[in-house]
Amino acid sequence: MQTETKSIAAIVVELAAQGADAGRIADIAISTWQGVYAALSRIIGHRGIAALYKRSLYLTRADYPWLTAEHEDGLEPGKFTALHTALLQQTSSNAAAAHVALLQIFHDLLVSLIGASLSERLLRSVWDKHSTGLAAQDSTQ
Amino acid sequence: MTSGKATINLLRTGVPGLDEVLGGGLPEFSFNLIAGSPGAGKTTLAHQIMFALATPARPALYFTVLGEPPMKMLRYQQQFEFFDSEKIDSAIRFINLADDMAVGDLDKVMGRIVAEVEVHGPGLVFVDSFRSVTLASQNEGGSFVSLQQFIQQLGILMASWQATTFLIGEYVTEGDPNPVFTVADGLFWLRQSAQRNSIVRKMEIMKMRGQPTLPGLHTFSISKFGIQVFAPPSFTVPPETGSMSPGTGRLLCMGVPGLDEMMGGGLPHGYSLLIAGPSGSGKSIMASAFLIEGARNGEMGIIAAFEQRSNRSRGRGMVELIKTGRIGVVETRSSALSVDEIAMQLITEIRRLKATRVVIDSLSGFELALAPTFREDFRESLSRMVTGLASTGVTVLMTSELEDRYSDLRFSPYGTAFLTDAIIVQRYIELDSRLQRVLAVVKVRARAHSNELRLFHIDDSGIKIGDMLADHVGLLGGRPTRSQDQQSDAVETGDG
Repeated sequence: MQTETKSIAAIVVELAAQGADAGRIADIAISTWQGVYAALSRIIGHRGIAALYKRSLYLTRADYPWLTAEHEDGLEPGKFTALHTALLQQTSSNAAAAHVALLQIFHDLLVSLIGASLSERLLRSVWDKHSTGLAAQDSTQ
Repeated sequence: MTSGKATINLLRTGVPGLDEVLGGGLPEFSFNLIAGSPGAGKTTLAHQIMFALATPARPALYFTVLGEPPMKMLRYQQQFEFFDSEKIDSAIRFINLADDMAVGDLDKVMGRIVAEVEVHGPGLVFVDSFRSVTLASQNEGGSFVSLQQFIQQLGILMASWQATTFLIGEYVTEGDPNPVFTVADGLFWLRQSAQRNSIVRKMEIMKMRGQPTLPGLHTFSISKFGIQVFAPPSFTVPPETGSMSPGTGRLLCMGVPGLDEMMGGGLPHGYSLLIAGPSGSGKSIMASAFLIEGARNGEMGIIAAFEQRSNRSRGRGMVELIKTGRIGVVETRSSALSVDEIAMQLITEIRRLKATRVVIDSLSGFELALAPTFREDFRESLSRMVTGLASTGVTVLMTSELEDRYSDLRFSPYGTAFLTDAIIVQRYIELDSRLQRVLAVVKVRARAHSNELRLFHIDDSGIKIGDMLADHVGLLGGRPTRSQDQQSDAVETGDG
């Protein structure tokens, strides 16, 4: 799991390094988040995932203050519009770093609550899709 | 001709002891309710059953409704050994209905359940917790379907989908004429009662259609392995340690020289013997001698020790046999046990060691180890345990602390004397300015035995039985006097 979040991180960071614009990074980020939302909301409900997401944003803001409070309230079921907007306004490397940090913090929070093996079990489909899927997409470019 | 009738398959619940209480297992496709106060273990019971029964071919759907946040539930349930992450999303799917429920529309909730059931075709369905469904329907007032209709629909739906269903709910009062009770095939009621500083968990199967369940409250414990139910010892267990019926055949040596003769040759195999006497009179030593004698003859023994004592005070012979595994020890440090729990531990140990001799030392300590709530029906439970132990074919020796009362003749403080097949009483008497011990065999069921009161003393090698005090009277009064015809200047006793 740890390695899988890292592989997602590596892909995003590499894309940024290759000169992908912030829009591309933001799209990838939102697509990953929607995958996470789809995998978890069925089990822990919208409120459960919204609370975790909000807490993750709060923790990530220490390093990325531009992920401001106004983004916290904007989580409509399955939509990450506010995050998308915020990422768009950054440089692509900054956006990629913030996305990776947020995802890592969210993941660590989930692991601390329900354990690594169950987290991995629940998010496996997301990592499969967003690490191998993206890597394949990346290689075709 | 048995064909033509519906066959009800019984599922093994995976909860130790529960299948016995249910009368063989859980009927497949039944519609069950798990009720009880918060913290009673409802969710744990549901999860344990689910993890035991769910397979990819018979998947389970676990709907969480308001109640306990699912993340908390998963966090705590995975602490149990039965929780298997690998089953999640293959054999088990958790589905959160909180958002549907928040609207308060039972139609919508039902629609969601139907949709999920149609997609996954589950063999098992859990709805946790049902109380929130009840509350939501009350708050809402103008619902399109009433709660009763909702439950009936759910019952019909699950039966036609051939899903074994559990509704988990908190119900404060049993008298509550909740419609769920009528619809349900099975009703599991979990309770926990606190008395003094002990908490005791009990389970009752208040209803189980078509099943000969064991009536009454059954204690259970929750450990890292999950729930274990302590079903009362079964009386139908075939004796594994011998084919002789109690009282016939073999006589067991007691290991105390002279005692066998007093008992008419020894203790009949399969009997239960009570040794009653005041503190320090030598009951435990006699019990040890009984086990050591057994070990000498190649028999395995078990001691259930409820007295707080170190190995050293058990005597060297015992310690050695315990160390080499010839004598098993069932020891309990807990102070909140039930008789059934101890009986189950004993029976497990008896089977493991194929033991033939069992000592319970002592009933007084045993009673103290019980949770206060069980002390009231100690006699009934003890009777059940003795019968249960007897059905395994073992010979049981119990000791019981008995305060010396010189005004009456008693054998046990609990009225337990009638439960046992044989009784030996030990007492102190005052004789020649010394505190001396006497013993007598009070009863050996269906056998001729000595009626002598015999002096005995204890030395390093154990109990030594001495003579009768034939020239004294009033031994049971504690202050014997020489018989009148033996000595003319006898001290007069109080009652002349």
